[in-house]
Amino acid sequence: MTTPVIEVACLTKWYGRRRGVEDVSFDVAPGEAFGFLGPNGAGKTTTIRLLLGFLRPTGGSARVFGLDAFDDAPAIHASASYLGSDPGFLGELSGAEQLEYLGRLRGLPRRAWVPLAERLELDPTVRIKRLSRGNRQKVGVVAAFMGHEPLLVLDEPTSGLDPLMQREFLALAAEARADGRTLFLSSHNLVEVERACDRVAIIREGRIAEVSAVGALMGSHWRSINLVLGAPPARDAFDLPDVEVIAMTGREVHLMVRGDVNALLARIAALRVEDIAITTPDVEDLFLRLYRGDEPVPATGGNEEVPA
Amino acid sequence: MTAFRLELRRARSLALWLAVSLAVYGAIMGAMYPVLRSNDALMTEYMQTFPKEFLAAFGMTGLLSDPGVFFTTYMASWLWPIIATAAALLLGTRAVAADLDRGFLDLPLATPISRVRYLATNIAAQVVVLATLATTAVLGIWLTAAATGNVFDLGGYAAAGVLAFAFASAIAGPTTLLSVTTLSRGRASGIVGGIVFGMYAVFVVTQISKDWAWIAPVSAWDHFRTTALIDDGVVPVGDFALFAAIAVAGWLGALWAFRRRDLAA
Repeated sequence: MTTPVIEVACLTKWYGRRRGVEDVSFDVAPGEAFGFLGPNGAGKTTTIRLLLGFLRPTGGSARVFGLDAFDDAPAIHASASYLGSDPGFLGELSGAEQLEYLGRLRGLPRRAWVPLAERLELDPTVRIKRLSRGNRQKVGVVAAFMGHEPLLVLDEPTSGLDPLMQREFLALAAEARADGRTLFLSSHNLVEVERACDRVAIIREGRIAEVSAVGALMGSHWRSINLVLGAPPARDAFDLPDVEVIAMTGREVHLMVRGDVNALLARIAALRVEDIAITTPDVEDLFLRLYRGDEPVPATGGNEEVPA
Repeated sequence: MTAFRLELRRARSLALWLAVSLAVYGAIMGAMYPVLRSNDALMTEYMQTFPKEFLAAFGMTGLLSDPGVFFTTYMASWLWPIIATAAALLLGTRAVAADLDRGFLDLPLATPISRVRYLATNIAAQVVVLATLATTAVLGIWLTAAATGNVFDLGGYAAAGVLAFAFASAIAGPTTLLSVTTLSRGRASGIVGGIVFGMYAVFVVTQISKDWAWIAPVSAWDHFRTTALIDDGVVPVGDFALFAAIAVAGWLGALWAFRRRDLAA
C-alpha cells in the first residue's frame, strides 16, 4: 500500500467557541488530484491552513508526507507549493519582484517564473496594487506552478480568473498531474473539481459530508435541461429511466436527468431543437439534495485509495 | 538575505520620511544654535520666568547653549520619542500581526523558511531602521551646528545616539512580542503606545511634583538622560543596559512565541 501524501484523521479546529472544522478525515494518495468542495465558510480554508501548519489543531491529526503538519511545517513546505484564494501580495512590489522573492525563499533558480508568466500573458512589470483581481490571481497561479514541488495545495485557485485563464489553469493542473505531482484543490466550483480531480471530499459546516470518486459523485446527481423545441413534443417523448419531466409547456420542456445522459440526448437529437441549456448542479444544490435525503450515496464512496 | 532585503525595502519609505523629518528639524535647530548662544543671557533671563519644575519636564535643566541641554530640549525630550514610538509601533506590529491581517504572512510561511528565521530577519530590519533614525536625529543637529562653527563633542553626541537607539528598541521589542501574542496590530500598538504615553505623563508629573519622585524610575524618560551624557560625560550604563534588556527580551520572547504560535487571528 502506498503511503498517502496527506493523512487527515479526526482533524478538529475550534476558534474559541466558533467551529472551524470537526472530525475531518481523508487521505490523498501520491499523484492523486483531490478536490475539496464546499460552500463559503464550510471549513475549506481552515483545513488548508491546518495542513500547512499555520494553525494548531484542537484535536485529531494532519500529516503531510508522513510529517506532522504543525510541528514539521518548514520540512513539508520544502515539498509543497501553496496558492491562497486571495493571496496578500505586497502592493508596492511588481509581479516580477513578488515572484522572484517567493522563488528565492523556495530555493528556485532566478527568473523561474518567466516561462509561466509568458504563458499566462502576465505583465510582470506592473505593481501588484495596480493589477486587477484576476491578474493578481494570475500572479498566484504562476507562483504556485513555477516550482516542481511534489504537492500543490490550491485554495480556490481560479477565483477571479476569466474563462480562458480558468482553462489554462486546468491545463496546468493536468500537466502537474502528468508529472506525478499531487494536487489538493479546494473549490466551490463543481465543474472545476470535476475536470481537475479524481476524488472529492465535500465539506459542509465543518464536517466531511462525503468522500467519493468524482465520476460517481457527478453521475449520481441530477442535471437540469431546458429545451425549446421546434414543435410541442409527444407526451412520452422523454419516458426514460432517470429522466424526470419537470414541466412541459408547449414547445418548452424542463427535464431533470441523472447518470448516463446518452439515451436522453439520442431522444433530443430526433427532435428539432431551437435552444438547449444544460446546467450542472451547483454546490449549494448538491448539498440541498445530499441533506434532503432524496439522493443516494454514490456507489464508489469512502476513503479508499485511488491508484496513482 | 532575501527576506531581510525585502523587509528593508518595505521599511524604506517609512524610514525615509521619518529620517527626512528628523534631519530637516535637526538642521533647523542646529542652525538656530548660534542665535541661542549669542543670546544666552537673555534666554536665561526669559526662562527664569517659568517654574524650574516645568522647564525640567521639557529637559531644560541648564543653559540652552549647553550642547546636552540643547539636544535634550529640542530632540530627546519630544521629537525623538514621538518618531521612535511611531517607527517602533509600525515596524513591530508589521512583523506578524499586520502581515497576517493583510494576508501576506501566509506567503513566506508557506516556503521552507522557518518561522524563527523569518521573524529574525524582520527584527534585524527593525534594528537597521531604528539605528538609521537615531543616527539621523543626532547627526542632523551635530552637522548643522558644526557647519555654523559650533563643533559639539562628537563622542557625547554619538553616545546619545546609541541611547536614543536603545530607547526606540525598548519600544520595538515589546511591540513585536505583543504583535505575535495578540495577532492584532491595534491591540499591540494600543497597549505599547498607551504605556509609552503613560510613562511620559509619569515623567512630567514627577518633574513638577517632587512628592511623586519615587515613581519616576518606572518612566523610560527617567532613564533617557542625554543632558548628563553629553554635558558631563556621564555614561548611563545602567539605563542603556535596561533599554537593551527590555528590547532583547521582547524580541527573543517574540521569536520564542512565534515558533509555535497558532495563527488563528
